[in-house]
Amino acid sequence: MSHFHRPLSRREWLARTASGFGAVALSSLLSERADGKPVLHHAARAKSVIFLYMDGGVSQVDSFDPKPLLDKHHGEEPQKAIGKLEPTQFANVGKVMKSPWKFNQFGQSGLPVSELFPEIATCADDLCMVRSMISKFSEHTSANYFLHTGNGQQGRPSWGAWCGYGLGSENKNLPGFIVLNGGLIPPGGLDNFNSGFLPAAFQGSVFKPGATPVANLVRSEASEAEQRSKLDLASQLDSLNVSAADREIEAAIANAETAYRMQTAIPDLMDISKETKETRTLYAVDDANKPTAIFGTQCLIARRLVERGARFLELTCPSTGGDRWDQHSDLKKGHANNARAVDKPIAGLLKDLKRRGMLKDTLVVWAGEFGRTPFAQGGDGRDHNPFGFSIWLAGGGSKGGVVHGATDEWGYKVVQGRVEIHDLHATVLHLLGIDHKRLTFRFGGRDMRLTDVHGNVVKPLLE
Amino acid sequence: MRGWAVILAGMWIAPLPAEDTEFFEKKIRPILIANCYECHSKEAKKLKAGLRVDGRMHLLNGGDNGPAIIAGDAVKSRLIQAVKYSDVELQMPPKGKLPANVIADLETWVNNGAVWPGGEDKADAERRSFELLQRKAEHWAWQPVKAQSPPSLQNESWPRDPLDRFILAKLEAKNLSPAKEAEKGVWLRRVTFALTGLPPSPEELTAFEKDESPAAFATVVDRLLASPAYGERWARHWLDLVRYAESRGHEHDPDIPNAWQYRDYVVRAFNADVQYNQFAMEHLAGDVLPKPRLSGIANESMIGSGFWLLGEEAHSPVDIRQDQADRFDNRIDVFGKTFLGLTIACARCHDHKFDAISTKDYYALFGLLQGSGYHQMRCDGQRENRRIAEELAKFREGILGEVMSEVKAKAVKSHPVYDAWRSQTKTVIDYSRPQPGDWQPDDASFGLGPRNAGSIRIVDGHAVLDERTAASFDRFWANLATSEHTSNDTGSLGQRPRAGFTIRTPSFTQEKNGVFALVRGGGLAYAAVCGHTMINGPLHGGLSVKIADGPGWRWLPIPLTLYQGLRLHLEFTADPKTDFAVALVVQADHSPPAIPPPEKQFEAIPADISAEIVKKLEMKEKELAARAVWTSRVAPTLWDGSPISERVFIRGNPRTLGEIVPHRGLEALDGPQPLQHASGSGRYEWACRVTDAKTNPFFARVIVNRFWHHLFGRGIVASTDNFGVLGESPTHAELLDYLATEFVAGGYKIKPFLKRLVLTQAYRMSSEATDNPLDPNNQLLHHFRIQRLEGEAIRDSMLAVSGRLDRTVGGPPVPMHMTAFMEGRGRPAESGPVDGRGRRSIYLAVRRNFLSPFLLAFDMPIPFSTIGTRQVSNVPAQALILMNDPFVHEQAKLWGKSMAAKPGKVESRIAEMYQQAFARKPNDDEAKACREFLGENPDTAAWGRFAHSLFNVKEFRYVP
Repeated sequence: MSHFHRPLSRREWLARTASGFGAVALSSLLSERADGKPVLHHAARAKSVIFLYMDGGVSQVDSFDPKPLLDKHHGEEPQKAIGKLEPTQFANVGKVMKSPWKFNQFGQSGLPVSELFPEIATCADDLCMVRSMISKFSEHTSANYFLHTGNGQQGRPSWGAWCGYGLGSENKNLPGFIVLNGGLIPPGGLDNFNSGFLPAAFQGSVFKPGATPVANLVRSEASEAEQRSKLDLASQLDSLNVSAADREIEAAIANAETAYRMQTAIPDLMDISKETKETRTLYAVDDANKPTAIFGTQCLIARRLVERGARFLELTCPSTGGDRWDQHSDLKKGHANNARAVDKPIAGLLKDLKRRGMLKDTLVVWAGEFGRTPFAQGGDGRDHNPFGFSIWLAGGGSKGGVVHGATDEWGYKVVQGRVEIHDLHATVLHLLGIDHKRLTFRFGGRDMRLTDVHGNVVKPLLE
Repeated sequence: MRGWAVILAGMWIAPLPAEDTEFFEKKIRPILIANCYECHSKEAKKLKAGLRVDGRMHLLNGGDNGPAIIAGDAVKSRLIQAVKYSDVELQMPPKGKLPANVIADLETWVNNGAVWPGGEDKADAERRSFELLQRKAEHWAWQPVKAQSPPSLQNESWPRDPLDRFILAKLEAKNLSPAKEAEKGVWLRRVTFALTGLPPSPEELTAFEKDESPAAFATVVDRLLASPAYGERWARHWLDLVRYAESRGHEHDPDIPNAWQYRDYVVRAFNADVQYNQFAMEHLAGDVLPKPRLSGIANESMIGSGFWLLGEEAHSPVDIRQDQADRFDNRIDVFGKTFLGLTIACARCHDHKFDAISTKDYYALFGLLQGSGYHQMRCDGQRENRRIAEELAKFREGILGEVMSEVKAKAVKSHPVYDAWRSQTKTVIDYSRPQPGDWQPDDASFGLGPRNAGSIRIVDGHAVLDERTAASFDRFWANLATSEHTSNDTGSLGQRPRAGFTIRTPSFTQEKNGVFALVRGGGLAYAAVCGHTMINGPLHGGLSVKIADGPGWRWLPIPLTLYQGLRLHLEFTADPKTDFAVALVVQADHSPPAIPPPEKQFEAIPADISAEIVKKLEMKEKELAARAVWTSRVAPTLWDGSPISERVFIRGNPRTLGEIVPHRGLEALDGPQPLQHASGSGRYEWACRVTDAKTNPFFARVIVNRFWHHLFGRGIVASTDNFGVLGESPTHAELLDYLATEFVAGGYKIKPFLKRLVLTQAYRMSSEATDNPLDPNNQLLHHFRIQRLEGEAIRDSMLAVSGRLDRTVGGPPVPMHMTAFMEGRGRPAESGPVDGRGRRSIYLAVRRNFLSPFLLAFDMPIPFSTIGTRQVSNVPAQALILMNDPFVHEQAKLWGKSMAAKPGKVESRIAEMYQQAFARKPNDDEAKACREFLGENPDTAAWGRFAHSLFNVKEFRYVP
């Protein structure tokens, strides 16, 4: 026999899942309507977020922030041409280096995009370009934690976890925060996706490519019936035991049922064999270049997840054989390989979301943890540069075809419209209908926030 | 005129020249209003950085970051620096840089004295003052622990222990009655898990159920407390507090070498029932106790101090000072929460928003802690080997007396060029003129002090006399060894074993281009700038310098230009194959022009005398070698150094420094006066204050509350790590004080205290809930709280019932079983077995970036800070693990196999499995359901399936 339970409302479920026995500070949660949906702080523009994480740091001056002055001063000493330089990770400063890629203008907006991204360029009018991002760290790990959690050290909840905590998942067979792992785990490891001090339920579930995306999803019993019979006995014994009447134990029983259903729901999600040939081509799922095919599949699954009500998806980069976007040397080859892996799939995702009418309430965020220096590291690489870099948003209430902010004439430091990581977080939460100042969780004596005591919604980015 | 205006800035009387007024009103005021007032004026909705720019005095006084302008000096004025965007941390206005001509106007205005027409505002006297003592007076937790008499009751028959009275009195006041007594088996399972983290065996259950003597309960408790499993269980609770891990996390997740020695130390301490005040002292200052706790040749106390060093660390931080600030912030956070239940780290950027903790307190502690470094320290045989070193030195001196009349010293000429250079240098340490406290070797191999010029040394079989006084490694100790499974440091610090071969200098601030050390022999020099140890990257590679062996004395340059203004000390490690020595360390801008002349020069010792000396020494050394302790364990510990007082970092920023705060503890506990101490960093004297329950009300309250939390499922103060204003109020304040008083009166002994708690009537209550509206969350404990087992206890229980449990205590961690889902940089090359060799979960490797998915799913905390109260989550991932994880399947099969092999009826075997898993027999319905599932003549596979079902029964992981 199996148990049938009324599905738990999110608030009830939290009360049971967090510290148990009602110890969780419920007052910090968004309130909830009778139908189990969260009551938002204001009208949401986006229901879901797809975060395209460009691990390693894409060079702004080679992608979305053209700087003609670099061509003019190419090969000069940067201390002479640019002036005082900030310390860099490798302390191996070379000459001023022009971009190996040409920029052209695209769409009605005339947004400049370099030859690195010919396909994304065709979506120019949907992109909300931020050229004035600034981070606080020059090291990957700290910068990764900062981008993901608003803090440069291990232990804080990832922004996907915060979103799940604020909004819950619309699909009880799927976690609210899913990381589609293209093959590379960023420095700092899985803790970039963790729930920190939030309950474990909000932790990012890392899905690997392939039929078994998560651990322990495949039964090892010879038949479904065998597994079912074991679980049925367990349920039966639970029901015969008086202490099992406890509320928390009841929730555990419900979870066992959910887990059982996940065994089929997730493989079903990952099975893209029924997608049309046209769609597969759009996403480059069958591309001859393997990294492109992997990332294309991730993008397609991201769309399928959004359709199924997932809240926050993060896509990490596939391995292109060399390093991720972290080109300390041979920028030309490394950036070209990485761009090749993601360009078509991302453009496919944007176009597919748009034609299905999903882009308007799906916020796509494209960002790395920092940018790269306008001068070379050694001969032909670029070092980390947190002082000014480019990211973009698309859909979900962001304003398409605009450029916000600016770096100096070298593309080195922000001089206008500075957007901090906290501001990005505040803006993303805002589009989801959440006030970043009111999404709090009591831990260690403080009402913690994703944005700590910082962050402003960047209004010019909003539609 | 203008010059005067500047000088008279504070006492402006003269009328302003018309052109200055016009300039201000046309060019300056509009700019300030348009670009700054929104955040920096009286009208600001929320004043940013405490700075107002709507008045001259506001600008001169400045905000949180200090004065905004210095009248007459635009270059030094922060306002100008901010608008010029010259500092990435300080760019104003944030929306974009002002046009160049506007910036030029502002510069002109400031350079001309920052004229502000219309008279002066009065100095802002409204600046919020921080009322530390008032806050202390207003919050319960700062008040002294008061002796409490147990209250009288209506139902006098209920209590078994005076402390039961506190519980029942609260219930009676609300007309609630306590739950009935739990069945014996329920209590046995509860107490066995609580004290050992393992289930009771069927034999233990039967024995207890049969024992009808009044002492039956106490007998069980004594047995459990005597079991080594007790120490393992309670050590794991403690490890949650100190964010225990065996790797550093960050990008490559490198080892914290030998961290597991600390884990084993905690297990041993609990099992040996070390008093809590001693245990705490060992954590705070175990490396500098005048009388360390010894166990045979081992110094146990020093290992405790390793807890400070178990945090995350970064390699190659671009800002090494910021990185230091982050590391120490974590240490302060862990210390404050663990020992005081206070969130001291909240005062890093500003005075604590709620508690009586100031930013000055924070930096006073930060300074205090900076006085100690990190080291892998030998913890065995220190005392013994020191005696031998002393004996050896005396023996050498003795023979020296015998030969000295025979060897003459030659005259030594001075060297004017060297002297001129030397006069421009700054001494870090001169071992011929050491100051008290300067002698800081990590063990006995450098002897008990500098070796004087004229001391005997054997070189290539001949006795020679040293020409300089120096810190000299004694090759007698060349064969010091470390115990099995000892690891070296990672990165370039690990290029040679350092434990036992190292000496450190006092701390100093780098003021010149480099440091030069006059050395002999080979080894390794390490410049501990800001305590950075993860030397493994391109940026700070220069902090460890290999010293190649070579003839005679020479200068070792250590370039430190990059680190000017930062604090550091040096550590010198001997290559034990050489006569390494260091005589002098100085800071200098330029390379030394020459080797300084020796202190003394001696004629060669005649061959026959030399031969005799060599022979005598060899005999003596042989004798001593037989008594020396050659092999030692090595553990990460603090290495006490120099007293350091730090400046306040304004808003937590290491680049904006405020006043110096003398190193000390919290003002609200110890007063504002500097810490009095004779030598070292002052940590020992500070630790004595922290652990003094007479003056520190948190010390005992916080720990007894943790005991209560672990036994009763919820602390009397539910926020176990926060007794501050934002923490929870105690549900039974008098009981908390009663417990604290009793614990201290009992000599801080933990085992008798826990025994007392589990023998109370409160602990015997049934957990059967009577959902009572008067106490809906059971805060008053009207029934016992059902508890879900921790991940560790669930896993250990499976091993226990399957028969796979290996009860070996301690040892190096068992490598984590790496699944395909555990990826990332620093992934361990070795994947451990699925079943972790059957070892208890506390012995599984704790690598920050590769934590056990099984344990994480069941809420093992991520080791980043103190977690006294684990989450108890309830997620499908847990169910997936119990359904499909290979470990669970493996244990189920093993358990089934062992049951299949047993004789006896199916029914009796079902009953036995029930006893193993749930410490009770199945009722008739349960027995029937199980019997039906197993069918006639169940085979091994069927028993395995049945075992797997039992793992999935909720009772397996819930303890009523």
